[in-house]
Amino acid sequence: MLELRDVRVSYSGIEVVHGVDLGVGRGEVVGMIGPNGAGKSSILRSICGLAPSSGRVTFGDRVLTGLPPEQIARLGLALVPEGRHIFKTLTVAENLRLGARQETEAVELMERTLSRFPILRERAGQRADRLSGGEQQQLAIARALLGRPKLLVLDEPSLGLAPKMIDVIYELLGELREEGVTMLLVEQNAARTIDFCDRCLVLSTGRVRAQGSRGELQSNHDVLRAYLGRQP
Amino acid sequence: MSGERFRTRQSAAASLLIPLLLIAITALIGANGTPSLQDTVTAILCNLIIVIGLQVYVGNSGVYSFGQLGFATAGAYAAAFLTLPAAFALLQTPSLPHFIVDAHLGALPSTLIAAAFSALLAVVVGLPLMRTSTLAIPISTFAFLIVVYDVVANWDRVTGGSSGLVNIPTTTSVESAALWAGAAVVLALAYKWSASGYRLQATREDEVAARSIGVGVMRERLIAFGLSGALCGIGGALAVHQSGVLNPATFYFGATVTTMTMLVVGGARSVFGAVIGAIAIATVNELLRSVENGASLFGAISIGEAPGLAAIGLGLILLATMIAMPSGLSGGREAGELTWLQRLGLSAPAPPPARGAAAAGEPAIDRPPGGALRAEGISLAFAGLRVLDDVDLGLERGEVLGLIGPNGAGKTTLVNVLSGFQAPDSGTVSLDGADLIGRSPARLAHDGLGRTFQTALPFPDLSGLENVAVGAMGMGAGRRRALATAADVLDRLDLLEQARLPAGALPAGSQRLLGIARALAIGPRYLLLDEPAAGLNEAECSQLVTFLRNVPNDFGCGILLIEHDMSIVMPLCSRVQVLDDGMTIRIGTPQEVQADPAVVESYLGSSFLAAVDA
Repeated sequence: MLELRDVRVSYSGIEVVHGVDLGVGRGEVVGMIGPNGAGKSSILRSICGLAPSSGRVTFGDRVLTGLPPEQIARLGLALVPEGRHIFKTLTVAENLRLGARQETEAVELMERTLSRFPILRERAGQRADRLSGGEQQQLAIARALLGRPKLLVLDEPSLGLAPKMIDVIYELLGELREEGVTMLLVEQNAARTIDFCDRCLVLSTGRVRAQGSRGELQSNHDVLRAYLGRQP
Repeated sequence: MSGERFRTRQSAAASLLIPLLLIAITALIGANGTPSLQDTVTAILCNLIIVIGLQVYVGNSGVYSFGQLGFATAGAYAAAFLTLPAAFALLQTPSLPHFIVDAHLGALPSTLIAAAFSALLAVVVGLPLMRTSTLAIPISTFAFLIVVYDVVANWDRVTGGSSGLVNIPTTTSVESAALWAGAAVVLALAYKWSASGYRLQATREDEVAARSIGVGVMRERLIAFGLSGALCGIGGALAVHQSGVLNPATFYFGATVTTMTMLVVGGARSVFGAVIGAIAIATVNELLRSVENGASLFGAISIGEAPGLAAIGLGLILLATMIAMPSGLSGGREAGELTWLQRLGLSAPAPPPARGAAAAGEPAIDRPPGGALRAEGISLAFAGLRVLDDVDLGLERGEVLGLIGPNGAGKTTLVNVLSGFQAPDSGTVSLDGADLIGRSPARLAHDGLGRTFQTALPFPDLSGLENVAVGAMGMGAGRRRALATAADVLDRLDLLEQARLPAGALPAGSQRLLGIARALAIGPRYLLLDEPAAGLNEAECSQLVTFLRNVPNDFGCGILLIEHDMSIVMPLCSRVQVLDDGMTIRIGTPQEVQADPAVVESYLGSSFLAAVDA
């Protein structure tokens, strides 16, 4: 469904991602892990058209390379950005309505989405910046879902969340996975990510160092130690 | 001490010499040309000084001012009054005080007095205007420009009114204008690279972060506003002594738009940008004007009169630049910072500061050892929603206190109250017995409260090293000392190599560590950290723990640590305070807190317990 070929990202002449290949199949959940500066966020940004990159990104039968971000979003690729980027001064309901692609289908879809996020229904009339961090993250995910995305791209969905709230968010992402939503996510917590995803890529300094399924990586102690600094 | 510089000597020299060379070339072309070309070049150089004046304020503060030409008007009238021959003065400005009329000063003293007068006016006007918000300053300065025009246009018996002044001695030559322009470049660069200049640039990059390291935003803006006023005054004074005539509209809307266009096209953030913008636009303008008046192009195509061509041409250039090069022709960089120049070997990028170059352990600021930080009975509600409810907090010198709780419990709000970014509805905050409520964030930074933010809030356009050094500069440290402090802190965080790059180009985790380094550079007594480990992986977290463990000893400060990652909180903190729904539900050792059923229920979650048991 999503295919990256030799993607390179540079900022002001300095290349930070050196030719990465990556594929995400329909219904698959793929994770990217690796230390700070590995290029994970840069890859996500290049997929979504937010970072200058070379190489080839295809989504279904469309080439994304060179398209502006809003057009990529319209093709059904939804980013839940790091730091959430909700519309702070709008209400929760307004935030959600802006996520919907067509007003006509919004009502029914909104109803369905809100039943998944009871706290958002409770707070529908409140300003979004009055929500707690965990609630804001739920809002960001809900807003992305209202666009009926074919692929959900999540950049550190657990960032800045209390341990219990991380459980809530991952429970929710788990439900989406069961329903067959295709996801590409970046996380810091390697153990949780490897456990959650069908397949993971381990990156460092702009290159893919290892990849494999849950079982393969969990038994690959070299990878865990070398790139994630974990003791076996 | 070679490592303790922001830039190499080569790069600094190139940044200074290349603009001077451009001015010299322009002056040479003018000096060897026809009298009319001489006049044109002299006028361009006078205008260049005004554009540099604009750059000093607009470029470093990031705030647009449309009033700077008002200071050029002030300087021009001051210089004209001081030099007008007595006979003409009697005729044109009968009510001008005698001591001014009788002054009959020469070119140099009249220009200097004009500069001083414009600077004084800028400070007086700036005192109220700089208090207004970043968005209000462009409007209020624009209003000032109109006020100046109305005053000089209507005060007939002093200023000659709307008919203006004539017969002003023409003393400005190409050479003197070029010398003054060169001096303006030196002054503008010296300011930009001074501690005060860096503090102002920090406010441009991120106002909130700048306040947190003790930068008084209004004060720094006022300094640049005054300096800018002086330069604009000089430009105005020289210009009037070039043309010999002056009227209220000489430096008004038209000149404001032209000079602003020059600055934006050249690149407002650099003095180099101001110079190339002013020269390039003026040249194009002259060419267009000659075509406008019906010249022939290359002798082949003859064009008839085309009124308005110059204005249309300038508009198109501005538009094209804004679209293709939003940071201007110079990219907002000084000449010595241009990569192609560095590739030619004419300039070199700054090397990473040498390891150990810093006088280790020597803080930029000497603070007397202080007492405890205390908050008592803090309550706060937003629009009726209770965020903090009678919260107490006490932090002893050198202690590390953890502050945990669910999202929305009020932890960040409490840090905002402690650091002066949010006034509580009730309650007291005291440091060493002194009441802190009502003090500004910048003042509290001077009192010794350093903080980081949930988002890293770097100064993206400044290098990592500059980001941290500005922290010490915010406390009033000079450049050299600030650099030593910054290099030392960065070395301990293993960030020296990365610190050469602009902070905006660093990965999120490094930006976060940079924020900690910046807060430490102010030499805090208490460091308030808001989720320092967010965005770091396990290995980086354990490095951070090692670093933070040494902070109380190395930097002599206590830490208030907001963090969700228990693998950071537990080994570092001697006590942990748990907030839930704006209230303290538990204070105790990490072990006690972890075992508390209420804390597990509201915050840690049962999967945490399961993980601990396993």
